[in-house]
Amino acid sequence: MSRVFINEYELLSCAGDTDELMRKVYSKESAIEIDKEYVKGTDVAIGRFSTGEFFDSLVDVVGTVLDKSNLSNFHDTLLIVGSSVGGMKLSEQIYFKENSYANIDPQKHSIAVISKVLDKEFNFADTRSISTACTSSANALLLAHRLIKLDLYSSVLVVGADALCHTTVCGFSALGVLSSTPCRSFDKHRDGMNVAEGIGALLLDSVEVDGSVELAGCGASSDAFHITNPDPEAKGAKRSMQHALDEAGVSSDEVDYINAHGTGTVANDRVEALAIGTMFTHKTAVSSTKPITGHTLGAAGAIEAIVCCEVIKRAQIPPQALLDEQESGSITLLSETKKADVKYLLSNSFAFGGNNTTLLFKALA
Amino acid sequence: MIYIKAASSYSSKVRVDTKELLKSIGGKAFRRTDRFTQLALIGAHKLFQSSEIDPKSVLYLASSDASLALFNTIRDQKFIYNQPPRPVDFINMLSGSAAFYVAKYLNLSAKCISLTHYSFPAQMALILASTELESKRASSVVLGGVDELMEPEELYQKLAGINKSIKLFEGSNYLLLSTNKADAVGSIHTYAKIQTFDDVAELLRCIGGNTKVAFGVCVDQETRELLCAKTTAELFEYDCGFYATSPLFVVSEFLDRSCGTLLFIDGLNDEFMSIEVRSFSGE
Repeated sequence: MSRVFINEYELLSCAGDTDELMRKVYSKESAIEIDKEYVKGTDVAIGRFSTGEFFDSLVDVVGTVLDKSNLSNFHDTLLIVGSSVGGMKLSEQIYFKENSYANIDPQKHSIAVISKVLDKEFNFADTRSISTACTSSANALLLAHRLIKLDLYSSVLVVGADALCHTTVCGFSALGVLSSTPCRSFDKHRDGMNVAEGIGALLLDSVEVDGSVELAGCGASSDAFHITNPDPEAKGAKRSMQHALDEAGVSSDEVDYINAHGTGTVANDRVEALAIGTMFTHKTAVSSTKPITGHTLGAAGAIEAIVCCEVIKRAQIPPQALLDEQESGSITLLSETKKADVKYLLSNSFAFGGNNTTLLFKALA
Repeated sequence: MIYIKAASSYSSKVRVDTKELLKSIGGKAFRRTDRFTQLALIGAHKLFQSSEIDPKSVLYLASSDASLALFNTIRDQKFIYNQPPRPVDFINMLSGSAAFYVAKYLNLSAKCISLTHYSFPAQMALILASTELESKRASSVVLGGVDELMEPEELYQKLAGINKSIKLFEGSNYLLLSTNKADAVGSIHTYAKIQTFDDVAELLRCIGGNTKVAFGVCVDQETRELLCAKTTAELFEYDCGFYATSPLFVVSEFLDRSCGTLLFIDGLNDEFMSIEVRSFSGE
């Protein structure tokens, strides 16, 4: 069985590319803006790219990863895409342009349109698309990990990508979980999440190079409890984290930092804090970067995996942004950036239906 | 080796009233589901009836496009009636909630994944399920394939990239997979990589005498004849129109009706994927 290394990556979020995002993460600078147009009569706080069309940006981000890598092309690389809205934005653009839905193409609307666009541009060995709502790209990373570990592929590009579109913003608004201000993860007075667009691409390989981070373990579980609410006892979340620890052969007290799912919704943060507080009793540092990036839905797992890689490389643990009054005392949220050599990091992604995924990253000497 | 502990199949050439069918298996619990999820549950129910499923089983639910019909509903709500999506429709569309309802119905607490693939969703899920089992991350996998019959038929034939003469079906087929041979009804091996015509021809040249051959619905007559010329193996016939996860139906049919080994060759746009199934019936 092979080990799995993350060798290159790049992202685009409302907070910018990798470097710009990390600057904002460490300085607790939210990139979320207030919008008065998306939902009639309601202010919503959302995150959008500063420039560029989504699918052009998608190709640019993946092209950047290729340029940074030691590959000349992706012809022997498997592409796994994690997305929850796929080409929904394309459908909306057609409608807004033509004021008619007659020319909306369901095939371009599908989840698989992202892999089709990228395959056309880069000609991958093969493609897969995973759609499990907000765990989509975390699950894409998990599957890439399995395929490399079993030597079925030596190189897999994982792309998490979700565009901002009216259907998701209005849909989450209809669910009553959108905040009108940048989200306040784990705060006692949090009032919801921010939908945002995002693209994250990570090149995984069986061969270690300078600067590699190891994807050492992956865990997943299903609450099978409720279609929107997490299991209040956090059994699924705990199982997911335990599976990741078990696969890597790491104990909970060895973990230095957890990048939490931390959406800012009442239900998620309460249950996640309970899960982390129960399992990580030695005060592992925790933060959610969603107050900076918003919730990029299917792209969140990939983007937050990149944040974890950067935390390792920069040897700085991020603080919790926009925190006034912490709800749960059982988790350790830092108020300021902390310099520390970190060895093991966890990243949680939780989704509708109690679909839980945890990734465990290991710093290499 | 990956063993098949149980298989269930449901295929239809018409859009049946799934809600009505579900009533007998606990319709109340599924009242907020969309038709795609209902279809998924019908197949899951059949598997549930025929086997004992470990709650720690991983679930893979494969489809070509999941619930496109629901997108049409939401599109109309938003663009024609200028209404926000109904929360229940939004959740069902966004979350791949079919997997949630199947997991809940089968009482599964391990990972559940919805997977889409344009050409070979069932085979892609089979490969991932194999990795799950081979890496010993799970001792059993429930693997489902669900595709909904869409109307108008001509549009979806075009979208699927298939010939107009090919009839569309819908289906919900499941396999219960394990690395444990006890009580297995067969074994399965999925060739991991996309194959060319020459790869498949070579495979056919090498197959043993007890092996039957079947082709996917989209493999055209000319290609079938060229490939059949490479082997003397008997053809396994089945009655099913096109939907992307129909290979699971063929596997199930073979286990149900035949013995020996089946080489199932699926193809679309000059790309092929093969599955080898061995039935333990009569052994």
